[in-house]
Amino acid sequence: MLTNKNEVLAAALDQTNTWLAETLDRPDLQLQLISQPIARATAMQFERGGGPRRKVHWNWEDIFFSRVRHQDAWMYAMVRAGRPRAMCYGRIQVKGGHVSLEYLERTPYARGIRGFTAPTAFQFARAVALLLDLTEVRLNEPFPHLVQYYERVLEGAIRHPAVGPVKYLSVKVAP
Amino acid sequence: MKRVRVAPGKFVVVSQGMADKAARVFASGAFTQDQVRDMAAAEPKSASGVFLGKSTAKRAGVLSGKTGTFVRQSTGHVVVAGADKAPTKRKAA
Repeated sequence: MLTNKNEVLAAALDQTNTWLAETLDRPDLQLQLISQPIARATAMQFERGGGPRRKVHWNWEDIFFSRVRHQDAWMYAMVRAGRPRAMCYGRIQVKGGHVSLEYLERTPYARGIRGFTAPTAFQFARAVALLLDLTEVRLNEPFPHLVQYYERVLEGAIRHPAVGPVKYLSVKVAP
Repeated sequence: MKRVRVAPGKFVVVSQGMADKAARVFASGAFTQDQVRDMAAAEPKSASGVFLGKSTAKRAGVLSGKTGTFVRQSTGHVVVAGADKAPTKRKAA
């Protein structure tokens, strides 16, 4: 496991929050890293906020405890007005030379954050990658109906494999 | 050294070198406000909140392939041993 994971994630988080507040003029949106003491409460609050329109098969608490804690991975919540409005789980694969975004979800009813979820997740992942001198950000198993959206908004996104169902989209990053 | 608040009541100390590097890499390629506005306009309505994720994720736990035990992911406890095996038939006396 990375020895400086917490420091890297904190540095990336700090810059992402500064970017939200200063560049996008959205100081009301802030990212918070999920840690063990707050994982359950944050996940429950987030999932409850989705209401009946939330139709996914995963739960964020399980993802945290099985895939984030004690691993080279992160989970953050995008918080607005004290409530988690979006959550993201990503992995760091130093040997593979990339970081990957694995799960990304926002509450269906969240007003005022439409359009911020994907760019923020990508900015954070890009910062983590570059801080670790990695050169690629992957979006793993994107939903087929969103592949074109990602290709349009993430310059240089490449499908893998090139033909057929997309396993991941790869974006090369450089400082 | 920089003290970064990563969650309510939780702080992480970041070295000055790391903080400077983060500022540098972020300044070099961060999306502008206009780019984010364009992204918002391009976001398909069908996204309905879910952007990435695997439909195969289990809700309560996972079945261990090695031991065939059901492990609750939130605690790591084995809940039911041999849950993925069909019940064995009793031999007739």
